[in-house]
Amino acid sequence: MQIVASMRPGDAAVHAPRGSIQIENVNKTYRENAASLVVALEGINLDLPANSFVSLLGPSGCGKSTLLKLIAGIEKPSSGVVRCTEVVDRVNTGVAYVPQGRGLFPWMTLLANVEFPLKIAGVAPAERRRRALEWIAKVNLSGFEQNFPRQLSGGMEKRGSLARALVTDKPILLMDEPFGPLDAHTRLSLQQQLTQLWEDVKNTVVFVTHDVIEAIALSDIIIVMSPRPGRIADVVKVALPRPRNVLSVPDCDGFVELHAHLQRLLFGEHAL
Amino acid sequence: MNRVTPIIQALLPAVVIIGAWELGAMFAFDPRFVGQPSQILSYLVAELRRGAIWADAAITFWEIMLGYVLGALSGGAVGFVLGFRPRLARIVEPYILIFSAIPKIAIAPIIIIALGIGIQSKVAIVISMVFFLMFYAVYSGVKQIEPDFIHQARIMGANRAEVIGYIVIPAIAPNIFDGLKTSIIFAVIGALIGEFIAARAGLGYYILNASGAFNINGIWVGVILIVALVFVLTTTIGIVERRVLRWLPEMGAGGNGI
Ligand SMILES: Nc1ncnc2c1ncn2[C@@H]1O[C@H](COP(=O)(O)OP(=O)(O)OP(=O)(O)O)[C@@H](O)[C@H]1O
Ligand SMILES: [Mg+2]
Repeated sequence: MQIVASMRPGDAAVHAPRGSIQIENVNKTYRENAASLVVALEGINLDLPANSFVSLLGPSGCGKSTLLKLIAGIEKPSSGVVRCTEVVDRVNTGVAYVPQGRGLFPWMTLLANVEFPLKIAGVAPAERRRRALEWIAKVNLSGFEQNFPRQLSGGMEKRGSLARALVTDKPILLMDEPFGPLDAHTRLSLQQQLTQLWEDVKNTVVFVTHDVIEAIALSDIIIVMSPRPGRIADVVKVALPRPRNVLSVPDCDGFVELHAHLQRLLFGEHAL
Repeated sequence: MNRVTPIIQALLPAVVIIGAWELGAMFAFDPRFVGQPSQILSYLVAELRRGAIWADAAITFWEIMLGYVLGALSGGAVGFVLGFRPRLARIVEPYILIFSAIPKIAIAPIIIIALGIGIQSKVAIVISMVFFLMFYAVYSGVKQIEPDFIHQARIMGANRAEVIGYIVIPAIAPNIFDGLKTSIIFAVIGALIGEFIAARAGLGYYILNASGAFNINGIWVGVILIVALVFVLTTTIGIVERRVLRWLPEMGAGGNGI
């Protein structure tokens, strides 16, 4: 892998810090069938510092999930390079990934699900039991350890997949619309929990959302994307003071301008 | 509801049907053509005491079990591999379709000529029926696996064996059990076809002899033992299935009406 990296001229980022993500000139084209191609991502360049909370904000179909899959190494870029300390050229075991669809493995209990990544990593049974129970408690699911996912509500299952993603403390956490299908109440409480958990752990988070206020409340950096083909419209730094949450953030100085800017990027001038 | 009620509920239809049959045979129609439950029962007891029928039952049992296990393993294995090899599958699938469409009754005599009159030919016929059922069950199961589950496990660092053991097999377990359950009845049919065509032993052979001798009770005794065998096999698999598939959502909205 070193060889691949050093063949690239002018490459200073080979020893980038753990948790940082570099995306250089990435294009991603899907082949729908023999005749037609879909350009999902075009000319993506990003340099995400370690330990930052990054949101991907954009309309449906602009390539947010695709970008996460490239970072996770489960899709390959058509051209360009994705680097997480090292070049990502296979499945990236340095990340935890909460996909957009179903969360937990339906055939395992909640406990078995949260223990699973530790079991794969070879952690001793007693230790992995202890850590899994600790995270199940942190996401307020104590008492449901022996439930199968079908016996959990949608919000509980999402919290379970959050616990499973965080239990391994990977340097990078990828979350694809983790709160998308939830009701306002559950969503709010999960946003709070995620903020609190993240302030303890401080790994790099890449978080996909459609929700502008959610993005402002949670993020250090908001990447706004535009569709067809998926491009980066703007990279916005959020300097509002922490701790903040979805309810308090509209009162911060600078929120209104930031919100208006993001709305304009997403919906054009006529949105306001 | 006390514990006895469900048992009564379960047995009631059987009691009604057998009772009606018995009464019909006494007063309405000729028991020589359709049999009479009381006579069938005493003939069954007599045959079981006499003992020779146990040997026939054992032979049919082994034909079914061997063919079932070998057919399920081979069909499942081919379905598994092709499910993960779409390009190979595109080449092989039409051939499997053609072979599965061949009526097994039509080629059973050829199998018997090739493999002889003994148990091998019956096992082969059973395999030829079970193989395709299990192939399609496992093949479609593998193709339906949600890729996210496999990706998740690989991101967590799972190697190939771990992905197969912890993700793929559990994910297709419902398909495997469906295939195993439908295969039972076809395995039994396969063994009986073989024995009807040419055999020197087995329950099919027993039934054929009974019907040749116009022994209606004998036919029914053979049928009862076959049904009992199917019942035991299906119940066993059902018990294992309920234990293994505890994670599945309760199935069928039918109980709540449409
Ligand atoms: N496996 C695939 N094969 C073909 N086209 C694909 C595939 N995955 C995604 N696409 C296409 O790529 C584009 C981007 O898809 P992607 O899933 O990344 O969007 P998204 O921003 O995550 O959308 P959403 O907010 O709806 O989840 C879409 O036009 C989609 O149709
Ligand atoms: Mg998406």
